[in-house]
Amino acid sequence: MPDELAVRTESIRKIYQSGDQSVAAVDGISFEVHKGEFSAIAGPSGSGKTTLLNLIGALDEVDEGRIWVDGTEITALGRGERADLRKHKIGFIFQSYNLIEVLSALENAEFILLLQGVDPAERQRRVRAIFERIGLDGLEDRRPHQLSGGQQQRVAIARAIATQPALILADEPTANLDSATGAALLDVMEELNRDLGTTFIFSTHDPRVMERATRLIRLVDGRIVEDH
Amino acid sequence: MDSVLLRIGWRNLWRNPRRTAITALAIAVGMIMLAFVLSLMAGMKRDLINQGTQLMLGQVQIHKRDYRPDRSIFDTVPLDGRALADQLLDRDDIFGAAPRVSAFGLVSSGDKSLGAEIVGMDRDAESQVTTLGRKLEAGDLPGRGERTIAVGRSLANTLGVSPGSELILLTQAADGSLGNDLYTVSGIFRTGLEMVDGGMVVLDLGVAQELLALEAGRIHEIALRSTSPARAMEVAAAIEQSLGVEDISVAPWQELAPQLAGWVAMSDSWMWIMYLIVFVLAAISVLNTMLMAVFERLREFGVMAAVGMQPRTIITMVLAEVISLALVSLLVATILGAPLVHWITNSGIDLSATTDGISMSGTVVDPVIRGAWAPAEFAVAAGLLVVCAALAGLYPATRAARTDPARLTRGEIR
Repeated sequence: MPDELAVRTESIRKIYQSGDQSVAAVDGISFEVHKGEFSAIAGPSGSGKTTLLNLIGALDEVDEGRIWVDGTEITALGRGERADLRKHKIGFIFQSYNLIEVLSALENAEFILLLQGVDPAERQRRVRAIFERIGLDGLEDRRPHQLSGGQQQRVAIARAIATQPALILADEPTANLDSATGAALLDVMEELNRDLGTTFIFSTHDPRVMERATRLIRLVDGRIVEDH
Repeated sequence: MDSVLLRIGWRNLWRNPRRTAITALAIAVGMIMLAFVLSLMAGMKRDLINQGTQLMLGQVQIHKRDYRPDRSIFDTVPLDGRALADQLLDRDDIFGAAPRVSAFGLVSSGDKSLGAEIVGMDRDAESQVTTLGRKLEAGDLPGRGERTIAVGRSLANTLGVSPGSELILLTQAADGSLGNDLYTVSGIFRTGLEMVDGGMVVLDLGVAQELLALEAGRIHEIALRSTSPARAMEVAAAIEQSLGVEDISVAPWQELAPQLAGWVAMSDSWMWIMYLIVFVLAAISVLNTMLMAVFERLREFGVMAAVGMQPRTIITMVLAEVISLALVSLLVATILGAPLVHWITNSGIDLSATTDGISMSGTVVDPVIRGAWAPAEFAVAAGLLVVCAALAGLYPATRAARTDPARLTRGEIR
């Protein structure tokens, strides 16, 4: 896999059983994402966007095909190795924020650094800098339920970028946000992409995200029907 | 990392405070009941052993190897028994050594006669080993060289004697003759054990040896008091080894009173049954709580796995929560249970209105049943609770850890 590639997939398939029927959620997709891209995967519900993101993020296993992330073939890795790869190379942003309820905003954002074994002072330094940058200054000690949806998604972004991963996968990150908040978050992510060169792949329905993306991949029934 | 997991576990515990409080209280009540029963059983066990060994038995006895069970008058310890008793007192683990002779004979007063065991003992030495001297209703045990006799209450009633009365003893002597003599009753003892109160008389050791035609050094047994009944086996083995005489047997109370040892072993078995009942209930409570706690947080576990938390770390985190729950339960149990155990240990349950004492396995249990502090047993129980809780928590934790992060984030589990 060439160095300039953040992601490469080769004929990947993921099949789900629904009663007696097999449904290919991802059906033989091959594509590449270059480092620094700000890509969006679009498509109707059930087209396989989230499944594709989960496979690239090593959250789920392919039934066929191979996937490389930042030069590592993740389809050849065991469970523990995939967890390690996620910890060091991939950041995730989920549609429903998925923050840890019992941790403060700051603790949520530094959680992956903690898993990486970064010392407390360094963790705090990095996370506070990110909070300042993405407008969470002063909210460090609040628990998730004390934050608005937009603020929670910002914390999720802070958590995803705190380790400076090679790739950030964002599953419909603006779906639960109002227009203004969604636009503001896209600004933040665009800025991170531009300034830090972080590769972003979104799955989205949101036309605003598609407009901002530098590349748009459309899926229908688990297959790529458009890529520009 | 571990301290953070503990912190998360602790905070998760209080996400649903009412559920946690109810579970902790249920476990704590089980632990309090267990502590109460453990204390009661420890107290009864202590009393049973103490009463059983202190009255007449002693913690360890020395005999000629063939003496028991027939107890022939001819089978005396094949060493100078009095000298051996004195010599044993030099040991650090022996606090009392009482040499005795024993024979069966006929006790008569007027036209009434009864069969009884005649025991010759040194009153001073005996007081260091057994409590017979404290069971006197009237008078005293025979002093050294006194030609007097102490008898049990039932025997005295049957023969119609009291202190100052005269009794005739008739028995077989070791030289083949018939030993018989007249003695004045010096005291009457009441132990609560019918076999003692109705079937035993006590003479001074030297006087009894004279009756039985045994020389001064010839005795049938030496009863010993050691540091504690629990060490009797160890002490008996050490003495037997140090004596190195093939024909001498040194037996701990467990061997001398197998029925008593059986009761003690049975009380230990009951303790394990109590452990089992309490811990099965505790484990079910923990399992129920943790299944709910884990299943309502599947998405959260999914996120943790997604961001790189290893499956074993997820298990550790759930276990931290379970162990926190067990520790809270233990704290509640300690706070609420300590006064109860204090009461049963100090005041006890008084059954004297219904009984004078319970006689079992050759011993008499006091009608006031008192507990004993059982820190070792409670520590074992506490440790077992934590282990049982952890085992119960392992099931939901393992299921969560084995599920793909993608499924967990959808709120599904394998």
